[in-house]
Amino acid sequence: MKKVLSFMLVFVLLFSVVGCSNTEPAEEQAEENASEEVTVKEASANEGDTLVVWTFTDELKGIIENYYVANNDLDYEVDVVVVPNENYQAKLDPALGSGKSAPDVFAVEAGYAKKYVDSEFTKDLTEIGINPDEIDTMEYVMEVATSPEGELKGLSWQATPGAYFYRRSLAQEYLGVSEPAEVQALISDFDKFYETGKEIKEKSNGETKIVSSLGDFTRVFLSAREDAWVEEGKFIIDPKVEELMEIGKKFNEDELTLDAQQWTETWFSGMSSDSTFGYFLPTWGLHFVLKPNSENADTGETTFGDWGMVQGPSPYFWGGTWLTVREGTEMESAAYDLIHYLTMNEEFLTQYAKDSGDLLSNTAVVNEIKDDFSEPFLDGQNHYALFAEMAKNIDASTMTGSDLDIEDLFEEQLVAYTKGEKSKEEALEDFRSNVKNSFPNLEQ
Amino acid sequence: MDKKRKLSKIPKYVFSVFLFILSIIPFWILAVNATRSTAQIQQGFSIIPSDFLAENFEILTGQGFSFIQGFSNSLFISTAATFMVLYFSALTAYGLIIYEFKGKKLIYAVIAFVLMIPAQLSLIGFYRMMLNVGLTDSFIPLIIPGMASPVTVFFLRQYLMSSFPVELVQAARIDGASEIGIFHKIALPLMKPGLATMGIFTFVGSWNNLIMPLMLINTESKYTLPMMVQLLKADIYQTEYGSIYLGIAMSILPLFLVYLVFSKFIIAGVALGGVKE
Amino acid sequence: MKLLSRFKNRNKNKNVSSGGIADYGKYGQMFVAPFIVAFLLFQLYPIVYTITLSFTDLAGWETELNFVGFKNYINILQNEHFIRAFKNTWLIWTINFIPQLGISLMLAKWFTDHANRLKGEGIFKAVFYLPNIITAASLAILFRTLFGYPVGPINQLLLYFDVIQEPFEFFRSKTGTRLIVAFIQFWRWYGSTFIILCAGIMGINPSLFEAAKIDGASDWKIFTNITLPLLKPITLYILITSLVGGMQMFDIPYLLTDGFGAPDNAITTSMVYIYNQAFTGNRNFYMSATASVVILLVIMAISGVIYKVMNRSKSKVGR
Repeated sequence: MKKVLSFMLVFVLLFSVVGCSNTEPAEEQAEENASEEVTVKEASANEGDTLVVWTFTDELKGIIENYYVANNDLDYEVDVVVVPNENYQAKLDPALGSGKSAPDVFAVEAGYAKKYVDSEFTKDLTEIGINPDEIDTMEYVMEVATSPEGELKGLSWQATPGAYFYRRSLAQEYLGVSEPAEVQALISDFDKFYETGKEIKEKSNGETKIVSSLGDFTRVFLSAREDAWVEEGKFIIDPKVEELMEIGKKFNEDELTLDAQQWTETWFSGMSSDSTFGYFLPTWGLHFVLKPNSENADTGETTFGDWGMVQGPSPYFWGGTWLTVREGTEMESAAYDLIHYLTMNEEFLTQYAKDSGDLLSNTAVVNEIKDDFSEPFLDGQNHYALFAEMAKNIDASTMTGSDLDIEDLFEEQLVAYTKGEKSKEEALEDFRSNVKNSFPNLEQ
Repeated sequence: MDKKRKLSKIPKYVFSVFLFILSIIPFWILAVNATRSTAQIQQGFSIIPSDFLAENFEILTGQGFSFIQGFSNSLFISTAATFMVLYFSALTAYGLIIYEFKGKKLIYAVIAFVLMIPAQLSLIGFYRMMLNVGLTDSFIPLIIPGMASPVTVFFLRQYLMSSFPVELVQAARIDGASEIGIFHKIALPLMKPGLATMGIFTFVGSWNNLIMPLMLINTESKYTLPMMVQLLKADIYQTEYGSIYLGIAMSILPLFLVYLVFSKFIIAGVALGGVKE
Repeated sequence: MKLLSRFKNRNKNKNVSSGGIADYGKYGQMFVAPFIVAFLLFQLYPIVYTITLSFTDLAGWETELNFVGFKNYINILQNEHFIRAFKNTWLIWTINFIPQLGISLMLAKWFTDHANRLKGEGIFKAVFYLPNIITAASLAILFRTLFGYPVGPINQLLLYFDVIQEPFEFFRSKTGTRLIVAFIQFWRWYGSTFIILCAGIMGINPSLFEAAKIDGASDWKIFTNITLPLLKPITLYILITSLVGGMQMFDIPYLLTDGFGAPDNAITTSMVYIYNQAFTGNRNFYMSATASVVILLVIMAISGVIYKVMNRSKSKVGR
């Protein structure tokens, strides 16, 4: 899980988001804001000469240095501190709590974003001049960063929907079809996915499996939940979680996977060989996970150009970074500049999208550029437009600040159950017990 | 009798060689991986070197991290910390053995007590304290606390107990030496093997220490070498395993050298008899 | 004149450690002072802070200390997670330590034996110690790869030699994972134990050995009657520091698998428990503090016992 998270923070891939449905939220929001009479305050002047930004991967640092600092005349320094994700919260929390040695702006990722958004340590962005009426970001991104009191505490420049990437040649050989639409039809829900999995295994004599690891499914099911892990102080296990466990067990028993764990050698090796039919990966997964590992390091053989992309059995999202401002910062004006630039400046966003391929969450820019993409790795498919479309279906309402910690605990039980080491009751009970141990304050 | 002796040596050698190889293997693997590309590493295991060393090196240095800076930071911190620990622990251990004074028993108890405190216990409190006095982002909290190292004091005290002839002190006093002079000129030299032993442990411990610097230091130019290697994992594109292994290998190299230097003192086989009988 | 010099030298033949002149006593205090000051400054506050925390329910971002008496202590002694962690720690430490002490002692004897020593002491020493140099993080990565499933090197080796028919998933086996952790600990520390023992043996007055040999004592007799007893102080050091270190075993169990002691909390040691309480979930600092204090008390108790046992027969060396 840890590695998953460190990858989660790697953001890439730009895909344009299209659709009127995305302008609607902006309009709705403007109406909401009008009716709530939100006042947008002017950011106070800076009382210092350095804007301190904390983040958990290199990525933001690169963006700030290569775009923000490089293209702007600033009368203050920007100091970006990178703290590895596994130590990020440990270092951030006491600093925020005491207000000493604390950053002015800090990034948070999906697994714990809510914890900070809901806390008193992040500033309402309207207090530093961010005007909600001018924001053109996708709704789910805004929702995540909105506190229960309705304050907008953060913004992001990206969206991270997830897809299923499959091998065209293997599809042709074992399923008789290879175009995305056709393949999607065969795996449009989990029952079909299972049947297709069996077919692939049979036709290939067990040489090819539909997924490499059960871990691939986790985010897909978690995104489909109705209930969050925690609601009103109570710990809840949504039925989708149990469904995930059952499907996992079924797949294992029928040997429809390579029995690998994500981020291990075996899992990676499937990307450059014929052992795996497809992978569940999000926007950043394409450029940073799939592509680099599509070439076999020893033989030089590659699967480049043989991939296709579809939604898969269920829409989901994976990861994401939000920028927040610390309550009590003395660099309000600079914080405003930075956040406005990175999330609302269309010139920057367009350039960045084109340079990196990252899917933006700014609907206007996405609409503008999405049709210009054609990805050779996917045999010419326009992944950007497709991801943009998928982003519309993202429902992030079940995100909580404890997601990361709880899901870390769940992973072990999932593996234990699907490998037949425990019964489902035991696994669930151990899960509850471990959660209770970590969160004694939650009602079970 | 001699033949039997010689024969009995063989299994001993065999066993020792076995351990020898066992101890070296991980280093070998480390070195090999430092020469392989990330893709190679992720896709398989090998004990044969590859040819990506130069590439990994470029990635490593091209990260915008100044390895030299990290190296010199680590060197400074570890050397200073080791000195603090060794000197003051020797002083304390000597003081406890040679002298009798009020509160000595209490101090023994305190040292023994502090010895048993798990490091993680003090971690939170220590960090909060540094936060409050504004000593974050500084090397001081990584060096000065070395003045109180109960483990080293404990060891040196035990060491002195088995090896230090107290008559030397009395003899020196008669010769008119000052107390501190006796400590510097007689005790310290005699403690060399003990000091060297603890010196290595302290240096290695300080060098490899990741958590404390990570929590305390924010400015890039002050990062220690292990911190920089750790940061490689926060890479934007992917975890560049090749360069991580290279970084690890490079950060271990100084430790090798320090060890070689110090071990001369230990291996010197100084008989601590001191007083010839 | 005689009277005067007799007066001046009245303490000369006494064991200095048991009755120094007041003047010299002051020096003792001076010598020890820096340690005390540094300790008070840097260690006392954190310790007191932690102990105080154990009597509160401080968690997460709370800043006010809410005292709850001994509630935490009562709870933790019944807390299955803590108890399990405690047991795990002991188990893994014992499996690691006993062979470690035995083998290191054996090696130390082989390489420092006055009569019969093995050659190449320098090189062997250097190499035996090496494992101590590598960071735990690197070791964790290495061993994870080595014991990987299904195609890790160890698996491949075992399959090749027909020891097993199918790859074995080491990290799903509780016993397997525990043994791996114990082995790594052994591997990391046997070298330093070896060096310390060597230093200890080398500190023994060689004339003692010579005298014994002249008297016709056998190797083994010399070892058991001279070396071992004289090594007691050093052995005491090793026992206690190893125990303390063992109770604090953290980095390998934490880094080897998922940070939560997988599989199924098999390698959740006390420290992993304490760390996770403080830095994950609800950040239950009070639980961490309480657990830390409990472990501290246990260590103190055991150390006390060891100390008493070893000091029952005090040995006088070179005095």
